[in-house]
Amino acid sequence: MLVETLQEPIRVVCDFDKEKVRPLAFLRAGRRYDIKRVNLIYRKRLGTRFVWCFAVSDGANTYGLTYDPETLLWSLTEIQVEG
Amino acid sequence: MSFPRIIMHIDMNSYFASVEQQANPALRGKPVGVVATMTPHGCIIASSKEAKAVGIKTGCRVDEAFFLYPAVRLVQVDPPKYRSTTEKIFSILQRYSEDIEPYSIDEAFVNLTGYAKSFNEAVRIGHEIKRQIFTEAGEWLTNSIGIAPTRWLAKFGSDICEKGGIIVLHKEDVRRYLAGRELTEAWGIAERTAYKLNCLGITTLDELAAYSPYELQRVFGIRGYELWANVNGVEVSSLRLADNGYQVPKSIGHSHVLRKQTRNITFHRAVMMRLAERTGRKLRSLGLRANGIFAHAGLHEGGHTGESRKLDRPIEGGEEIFRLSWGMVEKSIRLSAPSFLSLGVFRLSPDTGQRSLLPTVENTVLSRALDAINDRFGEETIVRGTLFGLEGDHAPDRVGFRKTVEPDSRGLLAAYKEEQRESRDISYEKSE
Repeated sequence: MLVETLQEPIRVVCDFDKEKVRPLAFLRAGRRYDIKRVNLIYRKRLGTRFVWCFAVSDGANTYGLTYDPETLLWSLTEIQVEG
Repeated sequence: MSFPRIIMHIDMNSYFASVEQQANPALRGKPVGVVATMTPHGCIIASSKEAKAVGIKTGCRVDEAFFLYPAVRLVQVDPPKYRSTTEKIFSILQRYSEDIEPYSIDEAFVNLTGYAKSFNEAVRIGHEIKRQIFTEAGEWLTNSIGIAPTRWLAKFGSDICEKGGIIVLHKEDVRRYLAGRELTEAWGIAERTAYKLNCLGITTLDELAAYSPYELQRVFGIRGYELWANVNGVEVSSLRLADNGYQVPKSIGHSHVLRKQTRNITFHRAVMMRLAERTGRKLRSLGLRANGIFAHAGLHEGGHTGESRKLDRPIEGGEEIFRLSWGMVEKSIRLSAPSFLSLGVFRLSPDTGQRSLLPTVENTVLSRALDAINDRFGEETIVRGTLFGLEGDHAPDRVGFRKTVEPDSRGLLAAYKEEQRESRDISYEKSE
């Protein structure tokens, strides 16, 4: 298993369903990755505020996405490739 | 109408490893170890049930794990993941009782007295909790639940229960569950106590239950009665449930297994400063001050060095914690490269706001200002010069093994402030 950690701003297609946020797909380097499963949602403290982390899978690999509710920015923070 | 006393203890199975398997489905069904430091001497702090099946247990070293099972998947510890999942699980528990004691990051007691009319209803609640954890926190997160009339029996139940199951221990047939079980299987009995009990001719838990409480009290003091009461279904620690786990910790500290062997003193000073700053931040966030300090260093040549000291005035600042702890280990570190560093503070008491008349080294105002900046923009946005240039993977954030956790330290701080405000109100009334 290869794990790469990064901090890369990305475009995310997202469903804001009432109180819940669910990423549906993200775009990176001209390619669209459709999210098949949201495996775990957790929050991480940044000083007094929180960012939301989503561990998601596209059917092949697992990715870590982070949403900052203050800046309204999404970032790709981790890629785990099975190998 | 009186309700039976019902305590539920919930224990998440192989918690950190299960959360990692939840986050990454490719890890499911495989031996997984969560490691504090990804070095051959690093320690596995949690292993999945599959890893336990091949002999990789908590406390195993990384090189030992690879020897036991070369294909083991090792994952670096990620504390925010576990803390956040714990918050989610505890919020589910709070739907069933207001009286919850978070015992550690993966265990909690729930007082269902009055909330459940019978043990059967408590079992139904247990199944509901399991279902909600499955759907809301994650389908890979399993737990064992013990239900009993006392706190100790509930925990004992979840310990002996099959993984993922629910067990009810009634006071009347508790001897049946204790029969033939080793003393160390019980919560609160370690090797030393077990040895002393062996000297009295007690070798199993049912023998302890049948022993004279007076004789136990004569040998162990009040602790002897507690030992007897626990195994006989007599509650001796009910008060803890009422305060939602709000207890002043006995000590706060941090340690780090160094990633590289070096004699670079600047590097070791920086690691110690990071541990000291983190300890100081935790102290201040809990509204506490310390009157004791310890520091230790493991040495590559073997053995370790360090000391523990009581202080004549309280401290709370990272700079002062660093200065005192560094002084305890500096001489040995200059002679031999360290393999791990640890420091901590003890004799903790609430910060009353009263300052010392004597001149102090620590600038409290500066510490508070640094806290305010780091609170707003994130940890180590601003650091002391000693820390400058130290990479983030040296002494990173760690998840504590403290029993009686507070899910959010700010909640504890609020409780302290409330208590201090109440005490001020009382003194104001008196002065009137």
